Amino acid sequence: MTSYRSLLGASLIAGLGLVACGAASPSSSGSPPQEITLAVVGPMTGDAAADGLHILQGARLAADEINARGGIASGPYRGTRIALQSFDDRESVQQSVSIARQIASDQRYWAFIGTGFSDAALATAPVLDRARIAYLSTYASSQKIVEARRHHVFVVPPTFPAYAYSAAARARALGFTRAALFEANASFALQMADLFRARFQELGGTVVDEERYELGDKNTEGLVAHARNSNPDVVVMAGLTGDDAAQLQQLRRASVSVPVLDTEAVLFSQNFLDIAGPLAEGVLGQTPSDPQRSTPAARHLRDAYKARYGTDIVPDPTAFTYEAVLAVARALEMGPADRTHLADALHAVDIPDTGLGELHFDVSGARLGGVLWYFHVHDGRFVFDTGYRQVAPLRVEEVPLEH
Amino acid sequence: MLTTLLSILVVAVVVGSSAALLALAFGLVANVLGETNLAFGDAIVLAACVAAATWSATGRAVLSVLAGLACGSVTAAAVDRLVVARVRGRAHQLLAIVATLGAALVVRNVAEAAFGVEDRPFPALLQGAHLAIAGTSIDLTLAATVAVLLLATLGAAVGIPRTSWGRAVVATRNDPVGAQLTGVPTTRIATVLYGLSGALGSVAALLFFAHVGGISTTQGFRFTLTAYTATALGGRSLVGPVTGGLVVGLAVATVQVLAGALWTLPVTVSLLVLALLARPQGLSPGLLVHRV
Repeated sequence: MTSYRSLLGASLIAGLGLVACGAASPSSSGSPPQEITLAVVGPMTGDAAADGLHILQGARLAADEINARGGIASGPYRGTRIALQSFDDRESVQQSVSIARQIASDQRYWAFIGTGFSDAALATAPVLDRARIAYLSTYASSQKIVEARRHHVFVVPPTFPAYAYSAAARARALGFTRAALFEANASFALQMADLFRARFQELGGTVVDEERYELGDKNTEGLVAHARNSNPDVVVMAGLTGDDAAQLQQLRRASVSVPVLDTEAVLFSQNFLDIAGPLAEGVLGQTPSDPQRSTPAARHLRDAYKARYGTDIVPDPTAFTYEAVLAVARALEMGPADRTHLADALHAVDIPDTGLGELHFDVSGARLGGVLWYFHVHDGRFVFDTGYRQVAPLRVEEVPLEH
Repeated sequence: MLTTLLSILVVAVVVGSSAALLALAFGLVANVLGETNLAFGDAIVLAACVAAATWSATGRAVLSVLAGLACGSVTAAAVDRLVVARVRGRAHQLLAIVATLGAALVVRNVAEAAFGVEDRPFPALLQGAHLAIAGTSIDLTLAATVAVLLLATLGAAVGIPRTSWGRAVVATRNDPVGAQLTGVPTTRIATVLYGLSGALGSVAALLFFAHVGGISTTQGFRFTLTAYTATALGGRSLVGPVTGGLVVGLAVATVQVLAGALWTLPVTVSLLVLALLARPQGLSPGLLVHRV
């Protein structure tokens, strides 16, 4: 009798709590809520505003598609629409954490999607996990975000080891043994450089020189002169597009003609081709979204993006945020009781092809199965050669192109 | 060893000539008016953005350069008229410095809003051969930078003592109150100096971006820091900023080639602190004090 009373009391309190907080849940009202709101967070202003814009584009693309089909497709939330609310973290760790706290305390928001750099993601993840709110990082991809195995935290892009290990494997496959490593003095680049160095050496290569520079510093003539003395057979870059392009110019002008390999997936853009011009010829790079992939989902994503934004080169943050919203919609079909149970459903999500490829998460919240496609620049165009799939957190395997 | 020395020498000339030109432009305001314009770098980056946009729209190099110079000149003059002139002469010099810092943020935001935040291509204004030397290179932008540097220095050396406007500038520099009382238009001179500083700085920025091939709206602070350091190092003589720029270039080159590029910023800042502490009058303190 006592336990029955306790159960009844607990149920009443929980029910009242849900009603009082206005949480959207079919169990609280008997019918599905009209809409479920997702917080889309990124640097909407400042140096990295382009990333924030791309994150928002991806969320809108997916939400509009889902809503156009009548909302959530099945389950207790059938017909519920996806609403988005954007937040500007201004590329600031503090601001990102502050937004996370705001979202945690506001029952309207079912998930936190986005963020730019990994520093912000690392600070935000524990806050959301403690509040039991699903957090899907759609650009930040440091493996440290998922190392803590937080139940409510997911990383949608392949994690850093996929980028660095595949770059090391690609470099060795092409026969390079002496790498000069150009790394920006920023958390994401240093982590990538560490991972690349370790794997390249495991595979029998040697990092003969490491050049570190301040992010944004274009006055790096001496860096090239210093690197040249170590006689590398490949220059490996862990930085951002503008810096990489400037260093490429300096290398070529100094008659250092060895190939350049990008580990950050930042050179797959028309902007890079425009800045580097003919000097881009032969540059090796990677991207998670092969524009020549010919599956129906890949074509659909490209066509949808082109119809709205005029180009079929889908930026990485856009593609990953698009996937994240699809994953949330699929998780909602499983009928999580409320937002604190969304992560349970996300762990069970398995989408065979989002447009980028298969999407499911391992127990740590890392996406498994993500592929990095490798290209070289030829006659001012990206020519794709092969791919590397992340089959385990610290393992990649070469896969053929899906053209 | 010889290769390393040669690398240092070439990088010193490349970095130093650019720093010297920036310092010469910055020094027009700092050395003559005794004012620190922290909006200098962002104004000339905005000018370079305008030049790049003009190039994209028209494909005409001369028009693009002229548009850039006009923008740099007008922006810098506007900083004087709209910001500095309103606080000039007040007891706290810091007020004017903070005011230019505010102006720098406004100018940068204008550039970002108008031209975006991503690095973008910058036209190769001076296409031509380059010569690879010891892991570095020299090209036409370097030759142009050195040529402009020499011409500007020569122009100032000849123009200031020999023209009535130049003598008015010197009078303003030596005794602004006395100059004003004797009818020298000190306010107008200040605005013209800001404008000239912006125009010459824009030339330095255009040559810099043409050299690296891309343009970034976040480069402004680096320009200001480099110019400020070189000016503080060089002192208030006519050749002071040039000397300071070359010293900065040599220091940066030595550090980059021997220790790595990560030390560029710490060395630049250390030079600035060293100059302010050990030799506040700079390496070449004289000149600009002519009898008028």
